[in-house]
Amino acid sequence: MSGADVFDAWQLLIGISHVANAVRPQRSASKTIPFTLISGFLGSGKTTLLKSILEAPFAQRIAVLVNDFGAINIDAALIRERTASTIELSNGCACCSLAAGLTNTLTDLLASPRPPEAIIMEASGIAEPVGILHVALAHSELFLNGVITVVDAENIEMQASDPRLKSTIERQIKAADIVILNKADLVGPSGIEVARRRIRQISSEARILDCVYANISPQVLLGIELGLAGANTSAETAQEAPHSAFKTWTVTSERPFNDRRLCEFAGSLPVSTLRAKGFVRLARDPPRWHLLQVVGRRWSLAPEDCDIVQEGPSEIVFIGLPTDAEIEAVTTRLRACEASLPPLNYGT
Amino acid sequence: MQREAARDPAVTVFLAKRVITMDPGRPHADAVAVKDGRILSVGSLTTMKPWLDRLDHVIDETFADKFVLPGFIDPHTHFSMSGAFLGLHYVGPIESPGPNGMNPALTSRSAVMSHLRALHEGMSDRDRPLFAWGFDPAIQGGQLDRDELDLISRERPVWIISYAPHFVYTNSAMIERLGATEDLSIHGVGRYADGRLNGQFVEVAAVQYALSPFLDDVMRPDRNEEALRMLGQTAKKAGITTTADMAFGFTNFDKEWLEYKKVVRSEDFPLRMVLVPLESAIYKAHGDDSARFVSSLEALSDEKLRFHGIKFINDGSYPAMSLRVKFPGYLDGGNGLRGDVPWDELADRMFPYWENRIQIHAHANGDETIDAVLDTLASLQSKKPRFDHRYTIEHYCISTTDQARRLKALGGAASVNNYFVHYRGQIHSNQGFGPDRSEATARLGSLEREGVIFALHSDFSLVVVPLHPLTAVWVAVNRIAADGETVLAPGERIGLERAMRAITIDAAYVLGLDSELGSLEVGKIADFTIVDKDPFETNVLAIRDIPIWGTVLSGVKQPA
Repeated sequence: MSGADVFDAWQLLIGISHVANAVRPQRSASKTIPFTLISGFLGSGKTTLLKSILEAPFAQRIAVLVNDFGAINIDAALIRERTASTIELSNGCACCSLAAGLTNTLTDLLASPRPPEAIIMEASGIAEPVGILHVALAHSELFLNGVITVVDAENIEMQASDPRLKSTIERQIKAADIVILNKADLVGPSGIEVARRRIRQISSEARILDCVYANISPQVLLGIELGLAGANTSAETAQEAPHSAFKTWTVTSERPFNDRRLCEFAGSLPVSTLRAKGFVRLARDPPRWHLLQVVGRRWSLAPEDCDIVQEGPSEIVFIGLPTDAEIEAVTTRLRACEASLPPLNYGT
Repeated sequence: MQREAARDPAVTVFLAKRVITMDPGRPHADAVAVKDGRILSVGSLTTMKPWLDRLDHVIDETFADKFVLPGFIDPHTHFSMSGAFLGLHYVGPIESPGPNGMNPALTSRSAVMSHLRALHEGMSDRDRPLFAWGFDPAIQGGQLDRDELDLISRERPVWIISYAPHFVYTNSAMIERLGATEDLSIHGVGRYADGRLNGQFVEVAAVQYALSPFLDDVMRPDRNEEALRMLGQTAKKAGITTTADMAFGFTNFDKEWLEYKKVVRSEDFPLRMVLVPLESAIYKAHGDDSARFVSSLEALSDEKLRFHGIKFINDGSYPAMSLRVKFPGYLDGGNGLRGDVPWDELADRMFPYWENRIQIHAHANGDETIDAVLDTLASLQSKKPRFDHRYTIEHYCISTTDQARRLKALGGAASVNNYFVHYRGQIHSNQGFGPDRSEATARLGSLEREGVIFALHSDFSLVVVPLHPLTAVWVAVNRIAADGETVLAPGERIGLERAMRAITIDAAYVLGLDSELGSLEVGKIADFTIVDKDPFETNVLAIRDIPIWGTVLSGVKQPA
């Protein structure tokens, strides 16, 4: 048997059936809560990242689901209340144990009087990330905000060439929208290049960020500050990006887009672009706003059923680490998606 | 059926080639007589004469060339969570257990296509979708697509999910059912070069989209009842007459109860069922009143469907590699999940049940967890000492020899999923647990040496093993790995007698039913399993292949 295991598929089918039975009859909620999965080997720095997410000053109430409380050493001064399954922080975040199982944990959280506004989940080192995603996303309130995989720069070569670890690390990297190459300080520039090349071999489209002590701005990583409570806030918050290396830029357009071309554009952004998000008008359905979201290589385009009809141009905010030439190229390509231009050929 | 019974004489005497009683005092007989669904006498027509002289009776020779055993008991299954199985077919490249025994391996594209064609032709209702799982493009000739699946049927929707759950494939009828049109803007929806949808759904968003017909099928209003009926037939074919749902109320207590009540108590349902409520679900609804509530459920019970005991989940699963182990952890240095009741609160949560003589079933897969539930048992014993409490460790997959001895000292029992020795012992030597613990999965020999009473169970269908007690027996006595030759931890093999007890009388014991079920003795309920060969005179390597005629439930024949 190769890396895939018959149990993965079976667990998925049983898992989503369980969600369907437990949850579905009671509601048909819209997808409003972003769900982010964080995977990575033991020792990669995943826990450090989760801790920094928990302690970050988000405006939204975030729930972080972890396998083991004990592993995350949360600053005691931040803890407001602690129960057997939840630690509530003074910043409004909560750290929840997955001991009751993914479906039960999610069902309880989503049914609580004040459900979280974003959910971040730690995947166990061994689990098949795609299987977890399908079971989690069977909860209809959730939409996929991205898969982040933390990789240990010092050990990736060893892990990816060890036949016993190879398939696990490969599926973690393949599932990732953003790969965090942690412990960059331990390997130096040439070591980082080797690690990047290895990750590229596994996933040519992965967005790779290198860092030390998993120190990446959680807001940028999660795209949460790009959250469009109202379409007009995005540009100004983007400028406050706390990680100085990241660039954000906004493209506006008065003309509606051709949806097929826009999707092709969204699926082929340069790997230096981490995220993009914005409300757009489509030539196919001009009266409605559509929400375009891109994280890594993953995109979605869905009609926005808000009652308030806002006037104004389509507006897309990008964030990433591009060169100025790349920014210009992305902008030009986006303009080429405007509906009045001749269609692209399929398959290109 | 009831009318017939009323017309019939009071006593039926079943003649058999041999009756194997699992009563060590009187191990064999030629006949078993049944009155009012209970055993009147076990012996021969001659020894039964004092009864037969006094009572009207008929002689039933259906089993004259067969072997009669006590009805098999699988004391740990999850029928109400198994609805996904209904109408879900398997097309994978390796043999895999399913509701009707082993699904064969389909090793080529043509084998997949002809299997799908046969499934399609075997289904009567043309609108009913054909759902299948397990397709592997790497081994079975590349990705499927809409045009190829249209060759199976243009009318019936066809839906296939891959082995690693990354792809869904559909035909044109299923694309229509999905309402997918060519302007569909979802990441990962496959297209032919001309822009037409090709029936492939590859990325997470597209697979999510394509899952909806399957979810709709799972959600059909009568689906769970239908699944329970089907599982009843599956169990009967495996010779099972009693099984226990070991997490009753997991999804919805009231809904599950109504479904079970309706299905299990209908006359044509061939199984006796035991419902063991899940403590965390009960606690959520009843808090400190939980034990009293569970006691009150006895009033709802009857002989065919009854509540019994309470179940605590204390760690993760063996095949999902989420159980908890002691040093040296997993191969990758990690470890599994603890249960939702913190271990240091477990004794307090269990005590109300302990005190009220409600039997406790403590799920523990890994050795760290087994230590925790043994510590808990020790503290219950010091708070209020009890004999014959039958505190049962459920699964008992990865254990140490000292734990068997300690379990005996504390008076507990075990219900073991030993199928994993064969199905996963070698996989987990390399993934997760490492060789020592994987080889010694399910230490039945140690339990036997220490004198712990234990049962064998399948956990069907939360894990991928067959629902088939004779396979559990085959694994227990042979411990042959998936490669078909390696014997894993030979000293943990057990003898056939002990293994057969573990699916009959000792399985009844862990469910608190051994005074009524599990052996063929006067006064017990007349549940039998009917087989074509005597397991005690069959080569132990062929035990799982013994043909099963069917069962007898409360004296009523249930041909498979």
